[in-house]
Amino acid sequence: MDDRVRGALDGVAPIEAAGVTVSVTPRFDRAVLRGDAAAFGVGLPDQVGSVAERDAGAVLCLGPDEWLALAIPGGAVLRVAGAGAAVDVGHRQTALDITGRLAAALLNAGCPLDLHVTAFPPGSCTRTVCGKAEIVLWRRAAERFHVEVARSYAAYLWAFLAENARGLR
Amino acid sequence: MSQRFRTAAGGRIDRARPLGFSFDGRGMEGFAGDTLASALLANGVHLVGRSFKYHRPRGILAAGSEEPNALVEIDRGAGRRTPNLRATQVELHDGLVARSQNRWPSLAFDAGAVSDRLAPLLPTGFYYKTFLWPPRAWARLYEPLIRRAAGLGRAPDTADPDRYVQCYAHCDVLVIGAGPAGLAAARAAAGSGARVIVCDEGAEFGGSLLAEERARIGGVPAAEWLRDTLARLEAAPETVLLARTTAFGYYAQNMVGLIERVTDHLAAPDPALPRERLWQVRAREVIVAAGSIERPLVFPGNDRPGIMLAGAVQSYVVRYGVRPGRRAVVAAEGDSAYRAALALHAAGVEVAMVADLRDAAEGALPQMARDAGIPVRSGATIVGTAGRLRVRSVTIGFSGGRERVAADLLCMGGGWTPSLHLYSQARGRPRHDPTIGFVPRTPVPGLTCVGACRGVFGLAEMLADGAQAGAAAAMRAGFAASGESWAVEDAPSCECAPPRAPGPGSGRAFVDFQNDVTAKDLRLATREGFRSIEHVKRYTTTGMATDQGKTSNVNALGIVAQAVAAPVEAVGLTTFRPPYTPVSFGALAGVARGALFDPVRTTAIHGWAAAQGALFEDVGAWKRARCFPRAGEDMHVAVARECRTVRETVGLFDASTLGKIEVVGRDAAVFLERMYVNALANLAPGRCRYAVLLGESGFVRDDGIVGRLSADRFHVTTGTGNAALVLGLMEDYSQTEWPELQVWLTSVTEQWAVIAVQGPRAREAIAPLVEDVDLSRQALPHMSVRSCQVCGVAARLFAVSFTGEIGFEINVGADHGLAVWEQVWERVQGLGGAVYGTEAMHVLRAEKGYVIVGQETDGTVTIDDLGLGWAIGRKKQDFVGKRSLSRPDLAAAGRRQLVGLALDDASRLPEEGMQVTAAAQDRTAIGHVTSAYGSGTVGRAVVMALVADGRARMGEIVFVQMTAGAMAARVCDPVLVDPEGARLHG
Repeated sequence: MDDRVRGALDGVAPIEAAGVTVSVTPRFDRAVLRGDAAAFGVGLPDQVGSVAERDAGAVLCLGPDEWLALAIPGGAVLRVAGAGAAVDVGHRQTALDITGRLAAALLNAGCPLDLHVTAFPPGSCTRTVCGKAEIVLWRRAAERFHVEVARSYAAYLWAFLAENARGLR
Repeated sequence: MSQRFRTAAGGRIDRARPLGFSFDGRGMEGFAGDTLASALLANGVHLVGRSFKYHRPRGILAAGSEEPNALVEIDRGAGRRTPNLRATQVELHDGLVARSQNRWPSLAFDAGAVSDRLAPLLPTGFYYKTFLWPPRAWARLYEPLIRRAAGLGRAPDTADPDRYVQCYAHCDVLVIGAGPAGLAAARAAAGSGARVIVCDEGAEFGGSLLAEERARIGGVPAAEWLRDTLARLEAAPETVLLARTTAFGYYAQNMVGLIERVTDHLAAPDPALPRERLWQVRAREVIVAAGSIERPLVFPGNDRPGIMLAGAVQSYVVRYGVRPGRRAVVAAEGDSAYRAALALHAAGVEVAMVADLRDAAEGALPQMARDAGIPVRSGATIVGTAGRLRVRSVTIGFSGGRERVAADLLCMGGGWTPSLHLYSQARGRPRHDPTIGFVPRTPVPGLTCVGACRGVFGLAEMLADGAQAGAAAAMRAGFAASGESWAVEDAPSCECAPPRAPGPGSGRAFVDFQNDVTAKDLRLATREGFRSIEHVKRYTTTGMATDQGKTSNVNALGIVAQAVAAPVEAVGLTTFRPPYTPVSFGALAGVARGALFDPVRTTAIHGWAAAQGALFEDVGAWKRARCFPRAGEDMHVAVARECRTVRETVGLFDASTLGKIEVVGRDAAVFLERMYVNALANLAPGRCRYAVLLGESGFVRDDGIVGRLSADRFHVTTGTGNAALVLGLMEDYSQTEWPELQVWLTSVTEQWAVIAVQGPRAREAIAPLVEDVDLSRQALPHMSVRSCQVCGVAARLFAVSFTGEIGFEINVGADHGLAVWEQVWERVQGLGGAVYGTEAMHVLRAEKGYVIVGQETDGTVTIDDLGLGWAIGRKKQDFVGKRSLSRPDLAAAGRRQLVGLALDDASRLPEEGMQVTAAAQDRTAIGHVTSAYGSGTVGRAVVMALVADGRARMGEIVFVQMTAGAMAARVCDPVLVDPEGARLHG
């Protein structure tokens, strides 16, 4: 019944403003991995705040025993052998793709972190806030960010970004 | 002729771009580059406002943000009327509409000026001394009158249509102030490759260089050095230049608040632009180059229009090409005032005299004035002035007598006060320097004051100070930097005037122009016993106006020190607080208004519910459907129908907001056993248990269903509003108390849409949609859970009930929620069922005596108070809160226990929170109502209450104190529907 899947932001047109574009990513699988890195069948990055890209997907290391696996086919990632836990959170979050020269500036409308490319280089990730929404932020490239937001906060975050994209400097 | 006080040439204004504007309805013309103040002066207008208390005519005193008098209202159309803007900071644009304030009926004739005549009756602190009698007159007469008379400007009366935005920024070096010292610092820092932000409150960078006509820096005129410096800064890739941006507050760890005024200076701004942008800058190093503020002189009649600060006059002449008068007197307490005299002279204004208050005037600048033929007299005292709406003459005293000099402009040069505002906000402690005044003393980590704001005057010294500090800051931030140095020529040094107390004179000598505080007021306050400067400030209100005493504090301090015969440093400075200049509420709110005020969380089924005409209620940040009224139904009727349908057939309910935590790991059962009061270790996979969570204090924190999916995996639910709290509590125990346990917690609240199907025909409703699960009560009894497929998607099916009827909660991935819901709805509808909302859910659970944590509990209710003591695992050694349960007060008799109340009058409905007493007339409560709903099923109000020793009072009559009087009620069991549970297990 994939044709009847409804994401939190289905059907919204991308936010296109001078210097920045925000769009909703297509659906993909997600899992939270906790415990020993060795317990998982997928190689996990061990530096907190780093990202390992795996084929079309990625694993974000969010804490010393916490990873967020994005777009890695569910079967492999959910298999645990040893001291660890894998939980399917594919529906829990919505993902946004923010690109452009002012992508970091747009996020800084609500995110207090230093997003300068030297301070938060491509391949970095973190859990942070944007406005009043908690987000997970992954910088895919100098001018491209992947944002994970809880499903019920997606509409708020979208409106927040749309409002702040206007007249951005 | 328009702009008849404009010089023939010169200045930084663009004479090719005339701009029309109006002041109090009178059309005038200025040039691009003007401020409202400079344009008014160019048109010969000095009278711009009336003072706060005495309604005295006031003119333009200053040329910057320190202006105390020239407060105007700018009207940019409906909702865009801004009061109390300083005309000296308002940039002129075509069509600008400005109005004076605090006058009626007109600026030139103001009825309020009667208070000036009444001044002897209005001494300082008069409002503490008068209006005391009769007592009732305060609220009815005095306060309304005073409120009408007090206040500056009119508050806007419609919503602000403008946009305001905020942003965060980080940098290595933040330079506050783009005068010579700040620019030299910025140049050094930016040249090192450091990330630099430079802000200045003015429209143009340059500070005092903008009014510099003589000096040469590095062999070129100052203006050229400025141009070159700005070009370099603009070219530096990591440097951000923010003009029209005030650093209004310093906060912890070098967080500085900046307010950028984006569009106010534009006649037709791009609608996409915000009006203001609030920056929160985290800087490794902050360089404060805030400059200094010239002090007015305190002498009788020093507040008439046409009496201005000397530095401001120089700025108006040199920067704006304005002659602020025809015939000037310059009152100098230091050499810098001579620069104004020279500038006026060069612009063709007759300088009748420089009255130097010092015994001798010997420096280079006095000599230049003499050489230019300007009469210079030392040993002078300003005795008084004359003129009603504009100064007409100045009376100057000398040792040999007095002289009255006709003048329409009096320049005051009382010396310069370093701007310590940000340094002081950063917890810096100043010291008193006898020649300069207060200057920074204690170091502030990561903050450096440069230039005039730390008492370094003189162009060459300021440039060197800035360059050195800018390089040092960049190096501390990890960059290789070196400060440049420049030779400075033709910048004659100014002997700096130490602040000194004005002599006693007759007549009113104003100290705080904005709050109308005079030297006499300050002396009176000290005579009345106020000695601390903080007390004097609050009693007289000196320094408490919107300008925070920028021009008045040091003068006030000098007067108080003299009056109490103490050294100035012993009297001390009052505390500087943010904001440096007023900040609009809009900027502080940013985009967080209207729909963005707070996030609104909605479930996957929200849109469907809205389309069905649901009424919603707020539960935390969630919107939950409260009920689904059909055509012609009010909420009351709709809820009654929804309840009836659930009891008789089947109802459908969106329970997606329920908090959910997936607890996984080898030790998951052990962990939950320790967290909850219940015995959970022995819970079989596929089964659920109602579980209660206590805090350390032993009071009930949350309740929910613990479902065991497999040996090492549990699905735990929490109350809607408790999800984050419970997860945090569990993480806390997992990480800090029992790190040895192999257990991990993941919030899955948002992963699952929860579709509750409740009612006698619930099983029938879902049966065709569920695959591979035997739904019979033997195979799937009440309190069971199965992982399965529902409508073809992965699901967790719970056999649980919050209504007392047969119930199921279908958990499916949130993105599948709506599609599954619609299929279930089709089934429910086919069986004559209904969708119900939270109100019916509340009624149904209350009829069954089920509690809601947060409604029946208030943080002081124990599990036994709720009658849920049975849930405690008796054989358990420990669980969170267990030890507290043996505290004497938790086990003592007389605790309020949960009971039902049956009101005598079946038609009456008490309100939650109403007090319960033992007798109708009692004033002491023995309990309170926690829940009350009308119930068609029971035929009367269903009331839950916490009543002292309630379970021992079964059958007793107590009284609910209703608004209309006490209402008798019989104490009863809170379980009113199906106490045996036959329906539940049916």
